Amino acid sequence: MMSETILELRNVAKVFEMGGEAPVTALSGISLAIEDGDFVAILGRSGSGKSTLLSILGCLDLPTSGEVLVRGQDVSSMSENELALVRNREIGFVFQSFHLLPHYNAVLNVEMPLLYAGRLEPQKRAAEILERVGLGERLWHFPHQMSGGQRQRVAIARALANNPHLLLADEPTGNLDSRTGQDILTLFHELNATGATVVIVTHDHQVAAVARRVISLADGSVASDRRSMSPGGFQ
Amino acid sequence: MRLNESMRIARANLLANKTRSFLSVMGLVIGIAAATVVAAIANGVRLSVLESLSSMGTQVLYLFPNFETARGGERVQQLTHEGLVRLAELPFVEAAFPQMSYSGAARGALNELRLDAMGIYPRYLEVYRIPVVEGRGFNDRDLEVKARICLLEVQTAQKLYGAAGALGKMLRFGRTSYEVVGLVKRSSVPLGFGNGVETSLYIPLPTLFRQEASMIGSMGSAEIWIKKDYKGDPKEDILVAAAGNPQRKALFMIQDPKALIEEMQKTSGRLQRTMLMLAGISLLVGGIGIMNVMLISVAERTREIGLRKAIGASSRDILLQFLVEVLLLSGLGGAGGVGAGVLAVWLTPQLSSGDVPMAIVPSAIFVALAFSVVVGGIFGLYPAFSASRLSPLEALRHE
Ligand SMILES: Nc1ncnc2c1ncn2[C@@H]1O[C@H](COP(=O)(O)OP(=O)(O)OP(=O)(O)O)[C@@H](O)[C@H]1O
Ligand SMILES: [Mg+2]
Repeated sequence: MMSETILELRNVAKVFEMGGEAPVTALSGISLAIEDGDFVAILGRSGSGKSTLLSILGCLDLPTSGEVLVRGQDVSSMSENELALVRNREIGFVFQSFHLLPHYNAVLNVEMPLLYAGRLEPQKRAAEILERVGLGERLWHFPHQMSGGQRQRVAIARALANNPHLLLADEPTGNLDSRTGQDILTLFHELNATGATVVIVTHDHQVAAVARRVISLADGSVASDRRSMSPGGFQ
Repeated sequence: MRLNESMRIARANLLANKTRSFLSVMGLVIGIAAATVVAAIANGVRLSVLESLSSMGTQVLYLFPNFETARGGERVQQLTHEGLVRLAELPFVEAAFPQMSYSGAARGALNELRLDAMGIYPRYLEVYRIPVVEGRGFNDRDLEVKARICLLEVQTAQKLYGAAGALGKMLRFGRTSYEVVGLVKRSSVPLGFGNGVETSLYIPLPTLFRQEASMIGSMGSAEIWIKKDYKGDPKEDILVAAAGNPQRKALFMIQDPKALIEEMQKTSGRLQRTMLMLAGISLLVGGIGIMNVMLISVAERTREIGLRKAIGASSRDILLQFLVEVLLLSGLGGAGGVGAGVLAVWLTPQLSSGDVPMAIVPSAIFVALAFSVVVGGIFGLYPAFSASRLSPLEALRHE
């Protein structure tokens, strides 16, 4: 039933050189494949390497060793420009701390990936997406004028801007109350239902419960990788 | 990404960071304004020297009693009035003025000042381009009747008579009272040989000669303006005319101020170089201002670059964006500086009565603009260059 693999890690390790101190091994021996259309939750204790793993999946950072394959193509063989194109078109990344540009309003923030893609009428498109994540009333507001949940939605809208196949989110509900977290989660589910592959890093077992696949990390390695028996068991 | 989108992003960024943009560019604005003004002053001085050179036509010669021949106990032969008339009548002579000045106490309604009075002929005002701003100048009739009248320099008149005005009042100078018939500005020809520039009181020459004869004795030397189109050597004829007959011509000597003029030109060249150096320093200070603000925002900009790369900007996009931003910023700053400088050059003569000769130098403006863009480029692109080499994640984590 699962179709093609859109992202694959082969024996990936990530070691941070600390310049003098002992190097930190954040990930080691990670091999996994993300299937098209899947809904994956990554669980693990703090410091287990979840964010590091997600950045490598999102091509924001390169592994120290091992291979990252995007639709079968090795990332290390790609040029800087090709990699930028992958980040722009294939992947939407939602950061744990949002990373909105503070001096840009919601529309400008969402417009950015559209501009890099050279889309026509980026402002119109940005407004549409903001509408879709429920921020139609906040188009011209700046991040400091919005609540945490609203900022999170702007960040999600930005990730969605170019209709990426893969949505990666690092604790998207971590800073939110459970009601708002639930709304965000519903949004991800809708997106998944319309074809997006979703990978969410979370502490939240509520999130894990609705995912089709749950990967647990411990000390930088995959401790368990379970597939839910009831796909689409959300709500 | 196309260029116009880079422009859009750059513009949005500059507008979104108004304070930072403004601060970073302030030093440049001031530096360039200073450079524009300083270059204009240096150029103005140079031009006024050139202009006075050309206004002098081919030559101005100075005639002195010859102290060499007088050494053997013989009396120094001063130029006589007849000699002066003979000089003025020479066909190649534009004008001949005796050097006749007298320093004394001048008493007006309010104050007493020590002034240099100069005895002049009406032509003097014209040749030295001394504008009469109020009242009248001198005429031939004044000379004939040896009228006891004088012209006062405007600011000196202000000091002596205050707001009431000096025109028509009597001025006590030496042992005589003179009626103030006109107010004049200072000479715009700064090349007088010991006269013109600092003089603030003019009296018809025959009047001064008669009134203060005991103090002055006789006319010492004279300056002789040669007509522009005259190509020959006038020296011999001048000596003869001054002395009255060829045998006595050794009683006088002639000095050609060309050497003096060349010296002045050199000085003004030095002045110009010094001022341009000062302007360069102020531009450097402006550049350091940009660098300062840019360095402060490096962390912030590095995170911004990280984010932009994370959502799909290539290194080329980043560099292009920053380049456009820097060009826009330093271009605007440079233009603002040029505008402020030109405004200052335009306003200065309006606001101050002291004549600072100023003339805008287009090439200096161009150099200043280019400099500001280069400075902005170096300091503004630095964070972009270093950040575009980081992975998006590293840049995002930058503290
Ligand atoms: N840039 C870095 N330099 C050095 N060490 C790092 C760096 N990034 C992460 N680490 C280390 O790698 C390990 C994994 O970090 P990571 O951020 O992936 O954990 P996490 O699972 O996301 O934790 P949390 O749930 O708290 O966000 C940690 O021990 C961390 O200290
Ligand atoms: Mg994390």
